[in-house]
Amino acid sequence: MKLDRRTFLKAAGAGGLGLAFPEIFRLSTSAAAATTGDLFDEEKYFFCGVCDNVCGMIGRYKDGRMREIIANPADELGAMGSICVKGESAMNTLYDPDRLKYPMKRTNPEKGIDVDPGWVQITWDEAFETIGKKFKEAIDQYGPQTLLYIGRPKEKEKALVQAVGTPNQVSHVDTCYLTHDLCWKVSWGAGKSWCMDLDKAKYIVSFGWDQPAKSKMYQLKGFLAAKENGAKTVFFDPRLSVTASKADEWIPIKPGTDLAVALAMIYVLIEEELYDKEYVQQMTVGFEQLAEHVKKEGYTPEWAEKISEVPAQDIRRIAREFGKTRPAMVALHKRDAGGPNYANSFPLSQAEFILNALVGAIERPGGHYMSRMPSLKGAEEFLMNPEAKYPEITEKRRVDGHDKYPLAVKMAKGFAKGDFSHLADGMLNNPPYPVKVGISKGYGILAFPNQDTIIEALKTLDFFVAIDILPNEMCMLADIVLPDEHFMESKGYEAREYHALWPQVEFRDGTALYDNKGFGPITNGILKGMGLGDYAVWWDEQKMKHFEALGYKVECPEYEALLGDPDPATGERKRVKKPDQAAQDALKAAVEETRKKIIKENKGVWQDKSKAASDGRPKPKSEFNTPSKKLELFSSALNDKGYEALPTWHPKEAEPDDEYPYYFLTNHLTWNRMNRNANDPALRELQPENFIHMHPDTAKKIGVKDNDYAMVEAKGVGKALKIRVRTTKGIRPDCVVTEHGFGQWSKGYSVANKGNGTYDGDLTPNRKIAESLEKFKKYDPVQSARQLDVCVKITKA
Amino acid sequence: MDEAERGAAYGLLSFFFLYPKDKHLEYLDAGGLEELAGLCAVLEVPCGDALEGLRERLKAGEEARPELLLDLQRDYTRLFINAFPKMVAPPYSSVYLDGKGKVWGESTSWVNNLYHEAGLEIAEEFHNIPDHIAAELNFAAFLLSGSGNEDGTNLRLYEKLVVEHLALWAPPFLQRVIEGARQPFYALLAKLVLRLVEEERGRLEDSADGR
Repeated sequence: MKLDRRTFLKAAGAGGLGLAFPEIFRLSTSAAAATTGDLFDEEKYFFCGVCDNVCGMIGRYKDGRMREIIANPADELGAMGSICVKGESAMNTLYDPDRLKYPMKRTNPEKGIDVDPGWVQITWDEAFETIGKKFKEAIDQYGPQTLLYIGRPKEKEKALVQAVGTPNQVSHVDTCYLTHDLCWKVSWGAGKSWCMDLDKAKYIVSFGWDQPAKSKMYQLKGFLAAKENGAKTVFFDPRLSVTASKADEWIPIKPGTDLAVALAMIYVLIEEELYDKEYVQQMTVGFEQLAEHVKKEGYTPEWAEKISEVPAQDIRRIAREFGKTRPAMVALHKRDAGGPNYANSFPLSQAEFILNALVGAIERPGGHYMSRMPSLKGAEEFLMNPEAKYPEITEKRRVDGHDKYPLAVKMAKGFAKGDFSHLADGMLNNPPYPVKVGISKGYGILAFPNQDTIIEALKTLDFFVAIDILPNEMCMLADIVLPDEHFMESKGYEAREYHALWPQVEFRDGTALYDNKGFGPITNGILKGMGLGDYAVWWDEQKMKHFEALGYKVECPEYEALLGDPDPATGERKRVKKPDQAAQDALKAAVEETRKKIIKENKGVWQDKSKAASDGRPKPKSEFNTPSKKLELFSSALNDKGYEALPTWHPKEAEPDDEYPYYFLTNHLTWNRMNRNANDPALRELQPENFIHMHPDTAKKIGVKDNDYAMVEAKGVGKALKIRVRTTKGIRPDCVVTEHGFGQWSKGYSVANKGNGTYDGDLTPNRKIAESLEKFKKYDPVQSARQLDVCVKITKA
Repeated sequence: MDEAERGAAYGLLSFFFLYPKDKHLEYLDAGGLEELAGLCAVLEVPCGDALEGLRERLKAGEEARPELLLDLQRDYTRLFINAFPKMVAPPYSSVYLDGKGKVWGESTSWVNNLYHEAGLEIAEEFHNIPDHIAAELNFAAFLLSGSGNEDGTNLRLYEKLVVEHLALWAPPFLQRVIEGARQPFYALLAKLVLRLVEEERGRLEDSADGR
């Protein structure tokens, strides 16, 4: 090509500026902000999105950049004056250059761990159009059940799934809190206890609870306050967890035998009449059956000692202390022994509930409260077309087999939360119907046990969409990747569930750095792409009603014009028309104005303390949403569906043998939120890889020492992980433990995939639907994932 | 080059550091290739076969355009957005200047304040961070465009932009592009910006010494 100076000069005359200018700049709408000498020139309210403790935060900015995060003093229930290391690190994720910024599609059809997707940026319009087309084509051919939705069981997610009419909404809850959740649902009529009044307790017992060490702020502060107030704390745990290390007593129980100890404690409380008789009489049903059951089964401390290796005299003494000290409670949360760890976790969770009920630790100070949440209406009431009704889901069979657990389905109001541990089996081995398209929001592959099988399963999809903030492993398998909002880019709000002693709604006031969208607009975009625009949710209308419920009226004449005549009985006027664009824009502006007002007047945290009693605790409930309206020690819901209605001893599944002699445990680090903040170099530097922690005697036996690498292989899994050895006397010699949150392989990361970390979930056996169903037909209505029910062998690497 | 030419050079380069779309191909086809070739001559940057290769593919007709565009988009995405294995060259000053490898650093605020001083702000539709290379190049074009420059303010801002900012981070950034680009077109663009910025720094520093 001829290089001609004159050619360029000619162009210079035309002026190259205008080519890109309008896409990048506009004239300033305000005078240039003078840079001040102050450290910060702006503050914005947020609540943390790293974990569900949703601590109220204030982001402090200088020249448009967030420089610091502090606790929002208005949030007395969550942050309680502090932000944890995970919350602080959220700023590093927000400003991580690896973030997903725009919708992208893969141009390489081949998928796999080491395969370059060949991404190209696309517009949201193209993304919605393509997704809508692919989903619709698959649904037209195979029916709505062909769509697999992997996402949290939250409202915005449900809006998409319900409009499509697929039964396959699958979430991580079976590997997280479903055992506790369903157990408490049948026992006190609501989900798991998310609100423990720890600081008022005088005696705290736990089976593997380690949340204070996971920087769950209310649990950490509550636990420390309880200790300061002189509470005695007793922790059963095979390893000396951080929380157990602060306890008065650490009892290194044999893994998976907590149920025996809990049953024996119930036995002693009843035998020695140490339970709260008045409370039990007024508040519970089933005491007689329980008393007869533990006596008949012979759940004595001596019996429990043989199983758990905890001396009978200790069990008896602890039970007596627990029964005589008020208030006493069994603290619990998600992934402890009553979580989805062992084949007997469900009856353990029920035994824990019963222990709490026997000492009056439910709906009383120093015990468990039902979260006091404001009533905010769900998305289904705000469809764009007010006449649209979600289709009935006629195909009840789910690809993860979760429909086969009738109580789980019933208790979830027909909308089971699904099952990570059985999804791969369901997809790969005789699925009930073809599952051809899928979408995943906010989950990585490393959220699944046994990643090889789920990778294989997801590769069978013809078309797959991943939504996230970072290019994690899930994105590497996707045909289209959509960039979610980081929580510090959101303008959302949420009702507090953890530690909700009174109703509280927290607000966020962020702005997207790139072209990120929240799931509300994404849902609507996909629905419109599928030709299901009538089912799109008018999120601004929902916000308007929510704000009204918080006492803030949104004025919008354009909206009023869409309403019908007043209902003769209630006077309520329902919307009868679809909104046009002008009405949508008008309501958006009105809602936005109100949102700002609420944030300003409430300093980011709306709350209604009038609902609390004078001591700041909730006014106790005396009636519950169970068939008997009481706390059910004998669960009629379990009984009706043919499950054991009282907690009964069952052993865990895997026991050590000569070849696989060690129990395998996992833990996660204080600063890790699973895999979600693994790409933060500051956190990764704290510990670049996971370790296999073992007792020095065990290390000696195996022939390894600190910093050696060992090969860890699980029975029945056939995969060995190379992990560096750390010795500690804070663990039983028959156990080993490693940290979750490592082993990322996505090459979209520039930090997380460095180093030698391994993924602990690779040692969890792949669960089979038919086998689990057979095993649990009597006593676990949620088919426990048995995350830790595995034994391993270890050799020097 | 005079001011107008320098402004035009920045403007042209800024345009090609935006995500490639049909309009980029159309522009190249309608004389843009020659403009770039001219700029290569002016800046004495050998253009190799980068432009010739593009010309041939453009000549191949309408049917061949989508594949050409896809090749450019694939390379742009992996260079500047997200990639496997990781983005080759984050196009943000803060990643190179602010020590922590993050976006929206001190240097981002610095250049953003400079935009405000010149009466500009980032448009909402840009959906990107203020210190993106395309924004900074376009800002340089604006400062040299003559409008609102009667009192010399914009030229002072331009000098500040180049000497105190662009010349500090553009070289390491562009080096990554030159080494990592699969499409010779992007390596060439990077070489052109590198030469332009370096020349301008030299010129501005010389003139400051002269003052």
